[in-house]
Order: sequence, then structure tokens, then C-alpha cells
Amino acid sequence: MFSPALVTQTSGPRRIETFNSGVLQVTADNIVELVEPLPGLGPDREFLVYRTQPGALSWWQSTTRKELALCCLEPFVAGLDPDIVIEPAHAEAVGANGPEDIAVFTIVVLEQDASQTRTNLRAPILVGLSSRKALQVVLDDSRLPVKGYLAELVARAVKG
Amino acid sequence: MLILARKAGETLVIDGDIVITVLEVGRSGQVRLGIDAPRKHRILRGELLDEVSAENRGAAVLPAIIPDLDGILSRLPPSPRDKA
Repeated sequence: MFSPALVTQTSGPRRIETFNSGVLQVTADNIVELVEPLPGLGPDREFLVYRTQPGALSWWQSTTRKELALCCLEPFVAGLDPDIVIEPAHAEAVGANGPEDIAVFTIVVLEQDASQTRTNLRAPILVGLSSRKALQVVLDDSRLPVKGYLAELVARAVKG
Repeated sequence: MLILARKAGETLVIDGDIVITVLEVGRSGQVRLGIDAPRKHRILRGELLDEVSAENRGAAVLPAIIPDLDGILSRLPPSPRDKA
């Protein structure tokens, strides 16, 4: 069953070099396999998912290229509750048994100016918890932003 | 690239199960297409995929100092789904 590794508590037979937390010893449960590579990022399909602290943010580290790492957010875990609707075809593509068997991540573009940091709600990465397969899908809903500025999304969510 | 000329009402068939129909060619040059394909095929506007690819590439360029996102997210009320 997929679960992100927490750097202070990792143990396992696989050693993966990360860009910011040294070499982590992890298990297969901490690793996802992309059904298709992430658009624009080359052929990498296997990523270690880990957190440096508990919460909604995680790092996706390519297991084959130390220099390829992404910050990701679990928008539902964070409390943003976006209107993301997962289609049956998407759930099937990641081998999920149902909506409860899917974790939703969105890729975060980090900027030095935190107010410019944003996340792509229009193209979330779906992870089948049982299968550990993942896929970045592009949703039909044009109300979901490709560039969702985190500060604005949070302000909107707090406002309710 | 395979280049074919089609008129309104004519079709293209790809792999036997994807059918693209030219519905209308507008005077402005806009072409309306109808696409019949099994659900396993994901159909996207090219410019949207380009935008997603560009954002992904931007995400892979990490700033020298990682901004404090926890500070931004901490304003959100705790979610029942929050987990370690």
C-alpha cells in the first residue's frame, strides 16, 4: 500500500539518493510508478515520494536522476478541497479499486517569492494506493487553474 | 507528419477505433472537429498540454532557498484527511 516516506523514520532495502535529504533507505510502498512519464520532464517513471515533515507537502524524487525532484501538494489533505472529479477511466488507469483507493497530488512550482508559488489543480497526479501506479491527468474542468497561486487558493478556502 | 485534406462531413479513422469528423470549417478558419474514441484515449487541446508541460518543467527548477509553504498552508483549518 502506497505511503510517502517520512525522512526521520525511513527504513527499507532500497537506497535512493535525494536532492535535499541525502540517501534514504525506503521500501517499495514509498515508490510510485508512473503509467506515463510526466509531460515535459523526460522519461522518468519511478519516483520516491517522501516528506521532510508530516503534512500535505511531499517531495517526488526520480529514482534514476537525483537532479529531478518535484514538490507536490495533497490539496485535499491540505484542506483546499478543490472541485476535482476523478473519472472512472482515470481510476482504472492507475489500477484503483475506487475513489477511496486514490490519493491526489498536485505539482507545485516553487518560487523564491512565496506569493508566486503555485500549484496545478487542472492536471493532478492520481496515485492508486493499492497499485502504487500514478498518472498525471489533465481534467476537463476549465475552472481548475493550471497556475493556482497558493496564497490565493488558501485565502479562498479560508473564506469558504 | 501525415498531411491529408478533408472537407466538412469527411472523416479520418485512426487505428480502426478513433474517428475524427470535420464538422464545420468556419470562415474565420476555425475548424470544428468531432472525435469518437474509446475512453482510454485522452484527447487534449495541444496548447493545454503545452501549458502543463511548461509548468512541470518550471516545477523541476527548484529555487536556491525553498519558500516556507507551511506558513501559507497553516492558515487552512485542519483537514480530517490530514495524515503524517
